[in-house]
Amino acid sequence: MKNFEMALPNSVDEAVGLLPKTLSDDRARLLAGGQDLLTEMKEYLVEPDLVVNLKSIPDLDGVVWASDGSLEIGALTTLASLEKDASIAAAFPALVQAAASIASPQIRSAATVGGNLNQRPRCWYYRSEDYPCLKKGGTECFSYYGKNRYNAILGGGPSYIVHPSDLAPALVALGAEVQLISPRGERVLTLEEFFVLPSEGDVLRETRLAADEVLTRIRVPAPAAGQRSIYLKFKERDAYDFALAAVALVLQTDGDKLASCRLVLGAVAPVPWRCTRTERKLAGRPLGEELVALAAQDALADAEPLSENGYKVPLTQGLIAEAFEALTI
Amino acid sequence: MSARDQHGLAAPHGEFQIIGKPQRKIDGATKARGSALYTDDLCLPGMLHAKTLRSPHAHARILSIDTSAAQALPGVHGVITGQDMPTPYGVIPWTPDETALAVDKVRFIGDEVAAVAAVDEDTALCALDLIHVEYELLHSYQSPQDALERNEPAIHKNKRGDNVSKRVQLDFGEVDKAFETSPVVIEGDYSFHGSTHAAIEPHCALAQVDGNGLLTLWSATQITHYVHRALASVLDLAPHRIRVIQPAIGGAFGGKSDPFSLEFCVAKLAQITGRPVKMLWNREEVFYAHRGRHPMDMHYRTAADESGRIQSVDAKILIDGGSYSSFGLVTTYYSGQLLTGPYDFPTYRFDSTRVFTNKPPCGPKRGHGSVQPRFAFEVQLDELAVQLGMDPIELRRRNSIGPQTMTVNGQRITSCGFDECLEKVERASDWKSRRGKLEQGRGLGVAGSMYISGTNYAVYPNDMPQAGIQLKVDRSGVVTVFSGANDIGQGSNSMVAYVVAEELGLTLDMLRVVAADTDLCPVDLGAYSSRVTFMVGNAAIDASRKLRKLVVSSLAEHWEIEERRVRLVGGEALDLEDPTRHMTMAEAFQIAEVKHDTLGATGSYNTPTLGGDYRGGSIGASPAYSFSAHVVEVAVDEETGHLDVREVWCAHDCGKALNPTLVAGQIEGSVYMGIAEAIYENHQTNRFGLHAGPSLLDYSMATTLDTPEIKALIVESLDPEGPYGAKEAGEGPLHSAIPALSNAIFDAVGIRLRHLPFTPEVVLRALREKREAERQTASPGNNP
Ligand SMILES: Cc1cc2nc3c(=O)[nH]c(=O)nc-3n(C[C@H](O)[C@H](O)[C@H](O)COP(=O)(O)OP(=O)(O)OC[C@H]3O[C@@H](n4cnc5c(N)ncnc54)[C@H](O)[C@@H]3O)c2cc1C
Repeated sequence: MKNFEMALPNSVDEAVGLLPKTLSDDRARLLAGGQDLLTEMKEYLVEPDLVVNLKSIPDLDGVVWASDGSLEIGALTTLASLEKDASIAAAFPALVQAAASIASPQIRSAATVGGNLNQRPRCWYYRSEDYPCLKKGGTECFSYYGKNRYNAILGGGPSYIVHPSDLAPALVALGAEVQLISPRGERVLTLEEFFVLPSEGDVLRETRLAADEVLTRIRVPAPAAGQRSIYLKFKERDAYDFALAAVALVLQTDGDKLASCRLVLGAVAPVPWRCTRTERKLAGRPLGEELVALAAQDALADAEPLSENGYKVPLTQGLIAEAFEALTI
Repeated sequence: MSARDQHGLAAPHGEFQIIGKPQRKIDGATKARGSALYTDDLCLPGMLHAKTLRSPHAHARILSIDTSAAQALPGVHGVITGQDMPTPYGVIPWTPDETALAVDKVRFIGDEVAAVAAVDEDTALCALDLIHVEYELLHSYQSPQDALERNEPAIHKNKRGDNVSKRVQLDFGEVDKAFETSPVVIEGDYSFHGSTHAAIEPHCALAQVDGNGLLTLWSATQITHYVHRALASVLDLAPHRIRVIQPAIGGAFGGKSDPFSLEFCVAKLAQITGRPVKMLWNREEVFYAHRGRHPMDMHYRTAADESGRIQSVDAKILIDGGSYSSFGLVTTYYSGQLLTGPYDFPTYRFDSTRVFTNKPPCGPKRGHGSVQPRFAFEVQLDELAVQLGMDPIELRRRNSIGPQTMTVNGQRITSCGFDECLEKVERASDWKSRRGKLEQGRGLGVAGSMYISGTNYAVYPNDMPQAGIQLKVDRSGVVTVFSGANDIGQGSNSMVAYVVAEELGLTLDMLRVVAADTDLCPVDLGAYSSRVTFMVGNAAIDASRKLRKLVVSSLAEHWEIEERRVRLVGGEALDLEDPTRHMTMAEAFQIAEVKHDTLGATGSYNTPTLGGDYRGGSIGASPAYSFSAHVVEVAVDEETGHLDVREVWCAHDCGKALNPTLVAGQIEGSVYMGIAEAIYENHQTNRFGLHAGPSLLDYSMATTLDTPEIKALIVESLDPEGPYGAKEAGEGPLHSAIPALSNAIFDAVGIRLRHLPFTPEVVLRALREKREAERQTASPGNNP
């Protein structure tokens, strides 16, 4: 790891003042729990001169319930504290399930929500210092014709990474918004807008976060009456592992019909993959096997697997079916 | 083999006091408390730290190396390249194709090119960046097929001018005739992927040259003696000027059984700089050092009669050796020679070819050379059982070879508890009432295996003993055991302590074990081929009985009684017939010392002449064989392809279980390792030869969460030549875990997995193919 200086700002304004103005300038990096940033630095993927430690800023940690039943999560809240929060478990089961599925207890006690949403891809071409891949400013996405069993089947091109965050699909499904602060002030985006496909934005990044911006808070709207939610993650082993595929599902029923749902897939696309068309098709249909089959079929209808990851299609379909069955049967 | 090598099964006096009872490991407490010293814990005054420069290319000629800038960096004390140690070596003396650092060529990404000693690791790493190497790239061989088809450029020079590392073709009996006349023939292709050991302690070595020019090397090795020999040859230094010591080791599993580059580099750098030099490889480097399980492509044919009796087996095996020979000669033999039990078949043929490729070198991993063929063959036996409509346990029972027999390739089987192994797993898993009656998606599978317990093939030819023990007695009652054996966590130091304590009537706290130090200990050949308990155990009995004789005869004279009345037990000596006469062992030793002068004894073991009378007949010929049977219960999620291994029953015939707790530990560890490499692990490189994930995050291994319930069932067929009848437990119980899993998956969902590893994608694909095949046969168009 290269030597660096560490800044301990006292406020968000001070922190953003230390950040570079342009995305191409990577001399400074934000540090939260360090579970991703430090591994990147140890592998020489990033070599900042300045590390801005958000942990010295008061009030970015912890959750607050608003009177309308919505939940505000500070960016520095650890995954471990989310996972153990009984009131969140009652209101947003998918969020707690997603948090609990991440890494190991040791990592979750340091890892933060803000860091989780801003973590970088796990594609092994990206993570290997030896590959000048597209995500590191190179000209090619090696996974397209190389080893791609963990890569994208939806929304790929020109980069085929999958977004590794488990919180992201759950929070997108729950309709969360994020608050971003920069020297220009504050803005709020839906989390869904926050993530960008490589074909739509800067291929070096996964989000719309500006170079001098910090994600400060996440707001999860109050659950609608009768709202149910689930997060299912499929890993190759039971110990810590990234998902091969994941499904976040939030729905409400109306008698024996599905009133509405939000279906978001994880680990299959460069962003949390919202299945808007499928959601629309499903709304108002009677619950039952037919609905489950339609959901599984339609959500993956556009999948374009690479040479080694075709298995993700039936795998994700299986998870979608399990998710609907768990919430409606 | 002489009388000294056989000691009978009986306890020294009546009942066993220590042997056969659960005991702690003698080093358990120091390891649990963190006070055991591993190589990296050792620090010497003035010590330098070394690092290795590695090849970024899979296959290239080195045109030039410029180390001047690295030499000039402040803090750097020594830089070496292949030219400093050009003498080739190899753990098998017939295939010396490795050098400490690459001399003219690099053969895989990660191959060692240069080494730097500096005041600290950071400085050494900076210096590596300053070394300029000019390479000329060569065609890199990434598949064994490519290496077979193409000869130029050869990875290593040989007389034939090809890339073949070793080929073994052996024929026993009239195979073709057996296939022509047998009513049932099963044929198929199977493959085993690569996996690595991933011991928790990375390789580490520390060297010091003292004022007299004596070189001492501390190294995390499981073969002190061979490292000693290789160092002498490569450094061109008289062996008596070298001392090799193995400190506490954090696991090895075969991954530390070759001499490694870092051992030569620290020694050379210590000679050059005059200061102690240490090198610790990081996890990434351990993945490059590899020496793990060989990938194998295997074609098997089995012929049987209608009753299920096997008539012949015919195997053709292509072995991906990676870039160096390592133990490859033995691997190639083992891939065929070790298949000939626990079943009796009258004819057999195998044709195994190991080829070089430009990948990290393969070597011995727990169950060396025979885990892969065992997988293929035991799956094929399951297919045979299905074809015959026979219970797969019954099929195995019907072919069981039994004790006091000779295998088709001339291996002498003495004790054999295989039938009991089958019976135990059948009963424990409730096989008869549960198999075929489980809910959809759940299944039971069985497999059996056999493994060696030592080999009479000493890696270099010699007639000296294969194992030795020396005992030294102190007037306090302490007996120090000097053992050449490498304790790699399997408990070999504890084992010799149990044996000596049993023989001399001592308590375990009266023993000290000094091991694996070439200056202090007699030679043992190392921790491999499951040889240590059998050979070193026998040597320990041999030494102890000589010492006991001195003590007993002195006491008999002292008490003026017959020798048979003298009993040594629990740290005391007593007269069996007169309870008033007793003394501590310390006093007993003192009486013996008066009579015999300074007390001590040595003991040895050598194998009898074994093996078939043909070239290579002694490779895989063992003084005794262990046997295992596994039943695996699996639940298959047909939607996601997820395998949930619910329970594994493993019955293992280890002969006498000297310490049942350690035997159960070895069984559990073996089952864990086998299931993990079948489902999670995959040691892979991409098409350029770059390792696909040299970290414990990317190379996923099973943890406690992924480990099934394991029932370790010990079977004790007392072996006439083993120490108190003991054989081995460290490697055998891995083998049949993997085919039993494949067979269980077949039982659960009807898919036959012949190619490892069993990832979700493999399971899903097989399920889809099965559904498609069913649809085809069911569709009316095909069924007019
Ligand atoms: C062994 C291992 C297993 C893992 N498994 C999983 C898994 O299964 N699922 C999963 O989702 N993740 C996994 N992770 C990835 C990840 O490290 C953690 O999930 C974690 O949440 C990251 O949070 P952190 O606070 O440690 O982030 P940091 O490492 O501190 O930061 C990560 C990135 O986000 C940026 N950043 C941090 N905070 C902010 C902010 N407030 N505003 C803007 N940018 C910010 C940093 O600059 C950095 O680039 C794993 C990591 C490891 C090492």
